[in-house]
Amino acid sequence: MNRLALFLLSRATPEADREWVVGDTLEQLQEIEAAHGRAAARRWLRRELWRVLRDAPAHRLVHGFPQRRRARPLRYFGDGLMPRLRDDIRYALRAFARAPRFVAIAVATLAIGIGANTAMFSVVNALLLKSLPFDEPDRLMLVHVLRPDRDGANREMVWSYPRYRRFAEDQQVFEDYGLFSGRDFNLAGEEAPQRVRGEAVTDRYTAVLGASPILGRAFRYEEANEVGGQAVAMLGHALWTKRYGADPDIVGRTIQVNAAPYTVVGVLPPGFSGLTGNAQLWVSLAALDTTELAEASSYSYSMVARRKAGISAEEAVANTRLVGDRIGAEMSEAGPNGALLPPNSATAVSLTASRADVDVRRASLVLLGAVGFVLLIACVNLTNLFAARALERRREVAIRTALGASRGRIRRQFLVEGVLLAVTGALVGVALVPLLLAAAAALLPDSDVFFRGSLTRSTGRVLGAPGLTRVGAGMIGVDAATLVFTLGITAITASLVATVPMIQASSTRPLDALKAAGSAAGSRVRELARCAPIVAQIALALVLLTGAGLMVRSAVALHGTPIGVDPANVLAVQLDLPAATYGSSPGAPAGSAFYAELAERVRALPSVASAGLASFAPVGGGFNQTRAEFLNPQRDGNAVVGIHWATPDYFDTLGIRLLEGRRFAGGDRAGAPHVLLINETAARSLWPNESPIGKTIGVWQGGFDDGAEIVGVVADVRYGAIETASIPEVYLPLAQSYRSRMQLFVRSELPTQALAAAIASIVRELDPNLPLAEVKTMDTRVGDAMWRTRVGAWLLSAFAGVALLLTAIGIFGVMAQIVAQRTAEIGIRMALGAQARDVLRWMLRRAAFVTGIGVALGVGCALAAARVLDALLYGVATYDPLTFATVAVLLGLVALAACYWPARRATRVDVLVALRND
Amino acid sequence: MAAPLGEFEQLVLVALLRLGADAYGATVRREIEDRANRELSIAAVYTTLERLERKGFVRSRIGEPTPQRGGRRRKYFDLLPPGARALQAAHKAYTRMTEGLERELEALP
Repeated sequence: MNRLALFLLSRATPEADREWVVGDTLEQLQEIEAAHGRAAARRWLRRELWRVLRDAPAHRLVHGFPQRRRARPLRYFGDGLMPRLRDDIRYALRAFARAPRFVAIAVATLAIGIGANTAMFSVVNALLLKSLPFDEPDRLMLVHVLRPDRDGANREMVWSYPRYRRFAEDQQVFEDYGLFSGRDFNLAGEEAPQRVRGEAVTDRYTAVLGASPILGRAFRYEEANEVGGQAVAMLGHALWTKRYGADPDIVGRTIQVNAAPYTVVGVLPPGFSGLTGNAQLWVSLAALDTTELAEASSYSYSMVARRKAGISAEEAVANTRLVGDRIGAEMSEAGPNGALLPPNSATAVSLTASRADVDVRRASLVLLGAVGFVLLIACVNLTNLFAARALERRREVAIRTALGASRGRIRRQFLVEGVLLAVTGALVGVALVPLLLAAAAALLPDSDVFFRGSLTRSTGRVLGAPGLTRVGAGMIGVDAATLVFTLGITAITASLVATVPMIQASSTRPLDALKAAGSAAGSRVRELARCAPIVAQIALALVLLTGAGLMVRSAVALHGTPIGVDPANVLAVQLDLPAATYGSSPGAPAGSAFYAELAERVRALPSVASAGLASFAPVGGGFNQTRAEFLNPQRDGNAVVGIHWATPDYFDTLGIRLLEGRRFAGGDRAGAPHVLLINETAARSLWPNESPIGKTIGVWQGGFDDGAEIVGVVADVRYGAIETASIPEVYLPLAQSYRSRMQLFVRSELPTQALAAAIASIVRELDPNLPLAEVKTMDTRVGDAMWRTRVGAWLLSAFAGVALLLTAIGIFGVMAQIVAQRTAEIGIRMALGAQARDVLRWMLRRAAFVTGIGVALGVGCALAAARVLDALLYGVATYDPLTFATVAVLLGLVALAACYWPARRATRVDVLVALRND
Repeated sequence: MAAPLGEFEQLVLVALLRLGADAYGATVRREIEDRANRELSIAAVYTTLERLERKGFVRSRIGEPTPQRGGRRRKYFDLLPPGARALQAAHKAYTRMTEGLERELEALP
């Protein structure tokens, strides 16, 4: 201790006087030690050191500035950069080692803030920014058919093969093009049957996207595009390695796709999974859909095209429109009643722009903004922490100044410390990213519905490539762009965190700092400035909390929305009978018999209450639409209806109520007069004020265009999204109109696993080559249908929770500081007769004032921010007063609670201690 | 004539006068501490002595190294005639100003 003090003392003394000053000090030290003892000597030396440091500037001044300082370059970026930087870093590390708790808190806060931002950015980057993993993706466009709707609006739609051919031959702007359609295939052969996602494509599809086979070749024109095309297939790299052990002789082998033999002609490169995002098997379109090739009205395929070099997107759209109009006029369509439909046209949109639907885009940006707010709040806290630490280190700073460190040097020291902490936080944060992404993945439904675009907005926009966002989701990860982003926010964070202490340090006057510690009772202005960050924090936290509150209320509203079925204890399983074995729609006795037998056997299982089949699962998002015309009584026009196929037991199994008439019965079989059920919305909108029972309508799908009698009305079921009200819907009895792909619904108390195994074994007995797909309980499906709202609510709530906690900590810290610095003032007030209660009230009043400003500012910002959320909300008003009021009160209470403890401490100030301090 | 002496300069010069040949940093400092009951640092003493030397009031000489100072030398200071004259002038001014007021000054609260 003495040696250190002597060393500091000698360093503080100008070199010219050092020898005698130290000598004199030693002499006196020995005298005092002899007279008063060791402890007294040490105390004297310590006081002497402070005195010498205090007088050091004057002492130096009288001798003139030391030569050394003039000789050395002062600038950081001179030739002395590296050694100086090394000194600064070493010094910073030593300072950190002395304050491990401070470092731990700072790094943890930054790691969470920067990590969450990086993770969120990697999602946004994949969904919205990163270029798609195809060759020159900017020249790729999705081309859609435009169909005028009844209300005159145009609807984007997929292509029929003959229209596509005409369009492809007539257009002048695309150099290459292909059709694709996402399908599920039953893959069988030597190995166990497997359900595989894939695409039916034309010959140029892979070439358009720039994927060339790593083995074998792509499809030829005559295989994929012409009637009678050969059944050929290409394998994805993952399927090839997993199922076929990366067999190099796979080309030429025959595999069973949907119970038909296909010859493997090629294997596609790793990472390629088509435009639908998770395809692993490609089959020649002409071989799979033999009849569709000639049907101009069979709209089934999406079209992707590559613009010629030098053609702009606008030119491409214009030409597409022109050619589309011409083809629409030439290939006019008539409905079954003979009336001409309005002509189609065509349009093109950039593939990159249509990668994420509007809601996903908005949700991801909202979440990125929210997590940015969290980082901002964290930065404010760290700034406070740094400022408090800088205050504690005023003496240290003063000593360094007295020892000859320039203010620039001190400032740099704080900057280096800020940067070091931010970089450490960023490194830990980036290391956290995979964990955060994995945790986030747990919130998302499996790939089946992952990022599926909303099909159900009232505009009825049919997405050109549903699942295109899946392509994006597959690209989530930390890449160069993400790291640049992280570097950017780290730099911003470092500068935010280091600025305040830098300013404080450079305004510290060594003489002031060395006077009795902590007596720097800040002026009122300075104290208000200290409260500004709190106000900002409260406002930011309020914006986040409001967003979270609105999303949570949406989730609750969604949860409470009746979907028309009772999902508890119902398991759903998807089956797809291959046309080669069972025939195709609408009349296929083998298929109908299979489904009847299956339902019968499942129903016979012990503890199965009921089992039924239907074409689409409720809240599954997808169902067919067609038109219905009024035959008896005859009426002009037609109506768009959703169409479903079902067995009689389906309605009981899912608890769908019958409102009028009867359900399907055993007598409604092939050959008997066609019958239909309709839903409540259809009954109310198509036959207002009269009963629909007994009316005859023609449905343009499923072989029911000749007319069928309506025998009953059932309650509405939400087949699209939970958010979307039902449209008019019709149910066809499966026995009268066969459909190959059906969902089996089983109501049973059995555990899911056991029930699924029992169903699988029954299916195996009936057909060993038939795989089950999408084995899921209805509860899970309902959960999946809410994922977007649920994820939004979860993440926003998590962010808001962290923000609230950080804000509370921030308020606590600043209030504690203010109390510590106002101890003397409080002591005086108490000495003058103020009671503890008065002090508490005085403290809380200022806290309430600051909180009030923050809340008012926050409500203003939240009102503006809520508009962004609007499209993501359901069942709650954007400016929901309840949410705003609750959040404001909650935040106010938390803020006051955070103020309460420091304020309480203020009331326990010992008057004598407080006054002696001064 | 040079600028009038500051108060601390006067104290230092008086100490030199009293100490004679034995005036160096530690003794000057002790003299002022004991008699004037003033808390001061060794740095302040040398700062003032340096200033006085530049004015030509005092002269310094370096002594021999001594073991109890860890082999460090002392720097002695002697009062020079201009310094003595300045001190005398300051003292005269002070006594003339306070002449006849001794009892009142004592009695001040």
